[in-house]
Amino acid sequence: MKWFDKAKNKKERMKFVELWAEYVRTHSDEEWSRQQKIVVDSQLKSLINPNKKFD
Amino acid sequence: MKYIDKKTIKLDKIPTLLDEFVTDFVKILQKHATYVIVSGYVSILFGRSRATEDVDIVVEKMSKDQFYELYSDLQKNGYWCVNIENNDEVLRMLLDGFAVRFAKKPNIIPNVEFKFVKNSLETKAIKTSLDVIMSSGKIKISNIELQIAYKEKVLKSDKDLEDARHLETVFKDRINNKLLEKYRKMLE
Repeated sequence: MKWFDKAKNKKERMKFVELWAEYVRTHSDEEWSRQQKIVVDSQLKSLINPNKKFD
Repeated sequence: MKYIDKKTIKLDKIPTLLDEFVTDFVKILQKHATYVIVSGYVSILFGRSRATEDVDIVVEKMSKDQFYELYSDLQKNGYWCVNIENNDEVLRMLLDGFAVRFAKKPNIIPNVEFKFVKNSLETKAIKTSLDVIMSSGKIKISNIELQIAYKEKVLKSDKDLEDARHLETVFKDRINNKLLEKYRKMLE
């Protein structure tokens, strides 16, 4: 895939990691964990049951 | 997140399914063995926005009797060893330096990748562990400096480098930079 710039993608991902980590550092546990829970729980449910659709 | 003392962190997070899985497993494990949680779950515990199939736990070597008491307790609480069918093989695998995986029946994931201490670095991880107190329970994790250095210098995948950066950013006011540099040099 010529259009896919792997190095650029890696850099952008790392920038987002830093942005989110900074959010975690500067916000209450409740604020960041409410958002994290949506991501982690849905990923985990998809791993456990890949064919089922979750809300 | 709040440091109660140098070795104890109180985390008021809303637990994920993964956090609940880990604290449930650890409640049984801690009755029988000394352990430390290492690698990816440590970053996820402190907010990384990803899940994982397995949670790595390093355990101090146990006698045959101690291990079978733990194994029986795990089985009573609905856990099974997903990568070895024969019960007698489980301890042999561990003593041979391999990891065994425990999940809640009938699932295979998430699972705990359980292994005995193999080297001085893992012994250090156990001896310098931090306690994390959550509403779902208390767990022991590897110290943050060692986790960052290990992910940067040993594991090195994109995911591990992101995990390391996440921890370094979240803990930037608390990290012991001298210690982190020492671990980085040691693992190079």
